[in-house]
Amino acid sequence: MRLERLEALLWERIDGTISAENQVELEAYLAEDLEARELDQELTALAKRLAGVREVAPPTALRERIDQALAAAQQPASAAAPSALTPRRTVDGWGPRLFALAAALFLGVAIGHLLHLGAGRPVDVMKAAGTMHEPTSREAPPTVEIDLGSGVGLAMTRRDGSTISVELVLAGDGRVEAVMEAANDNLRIVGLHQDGSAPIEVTAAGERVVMGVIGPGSFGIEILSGTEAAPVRLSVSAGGEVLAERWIDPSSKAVQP
Amino acid sequence: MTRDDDTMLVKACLQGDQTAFDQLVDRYEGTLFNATYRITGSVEDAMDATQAAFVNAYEKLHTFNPSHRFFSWIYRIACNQALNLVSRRRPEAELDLDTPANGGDPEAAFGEAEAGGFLQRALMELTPQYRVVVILKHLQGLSYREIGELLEIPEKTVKSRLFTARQRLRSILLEKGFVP
Repeated sequence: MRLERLEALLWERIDGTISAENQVELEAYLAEDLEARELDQELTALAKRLAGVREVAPPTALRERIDQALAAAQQPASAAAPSALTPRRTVDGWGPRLFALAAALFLGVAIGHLLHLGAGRPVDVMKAAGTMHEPTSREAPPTVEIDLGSGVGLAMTRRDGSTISVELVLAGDGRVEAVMEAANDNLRIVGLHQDGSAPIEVTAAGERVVMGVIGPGSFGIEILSGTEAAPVRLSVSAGGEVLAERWIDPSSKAVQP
Repeated sequence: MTRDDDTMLVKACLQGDQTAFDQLVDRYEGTLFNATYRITGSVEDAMDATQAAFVNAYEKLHTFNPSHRFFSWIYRIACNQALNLVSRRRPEAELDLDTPANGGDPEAAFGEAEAGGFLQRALMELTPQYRVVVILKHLQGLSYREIGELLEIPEKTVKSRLFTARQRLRSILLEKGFVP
């Protein structure tokens, strides 16, 4: 039997699509040929490895983003049709579309003004309409996403006054450490949550809180600073290498490591 | 969850039930995120693709044909979003798959490397059209027919693409000295 046919039949057997006739032929060949049996073992092991790749829990921020984007998508529909959630099957022609577009632009500009009042900055309508990462409401403090690199995952931070939330969404299996540090202020842990299988290790000592986790999964910590204005710095590292550093504050300004 | 449930939720949504689409998001958020994450190799891109899939599905819900499965429909949208993101992205930096720190034991090396997301990285070395069929078949457990429906290609093409993809994946693993 040619190698290519052997491999095709082995995969058919693994997939469960092999015909009875081909199965008989394959089994007979495997019984006689050692190399064919080795290839069989190798492909079976590869299929098991692939099927055994663990699911990654979606970041909790994803649902928030979807809800915001759907809410933004509903706005023009509500301007053009009685039901906000009814898709725009009755909207025909350019007139209603232009009206819907104008309504969306107006909404974007209005939200933009709320977000950037007095700042004199141009408004990104797409961001203001909630289709990008930032939330649309002034009441909801922004969630800042920090890419930790390909294969590692994402860190997300949010600060609402003295309450600081940090979430690590990890795709890989390695250990990642997040250090939250305040200058001249005490930090206190008020909450922990996780979707991963490994436990969260935390240590807190005055100005410094350390969260150590092993992915994959999402792991969150909530801490309180003594004062609302206290600057808190986040540093995320893995294997001794710093992956990201950032101040966690409502304006979410980035800093160089 | 059944096909009938999904169809009823779609119908309810089209009739203005504000919670119906939320239930569809609840059902498929995780599955779509996982599929798009495996295709793009990036949490952020997967979040973008998943979000865009739900928004596109919502906006075009009136075009959905109820004789088909809602899941297949939205899954296809999500996969296409992910593939579009991958095709727009600049070429990936060279992946560092060499030099397992294991003292030369390939079996042990595979175990260690896999723990660090090695398989995901090997998958990222395949071109998107090959990567996606491996993901749909092996990680998502879809049949040839389902993959064909999702990617809008004949079953025969799925089979031949999958055959080539598996050969390439295996040679990537072997080249690096990782024998499963």
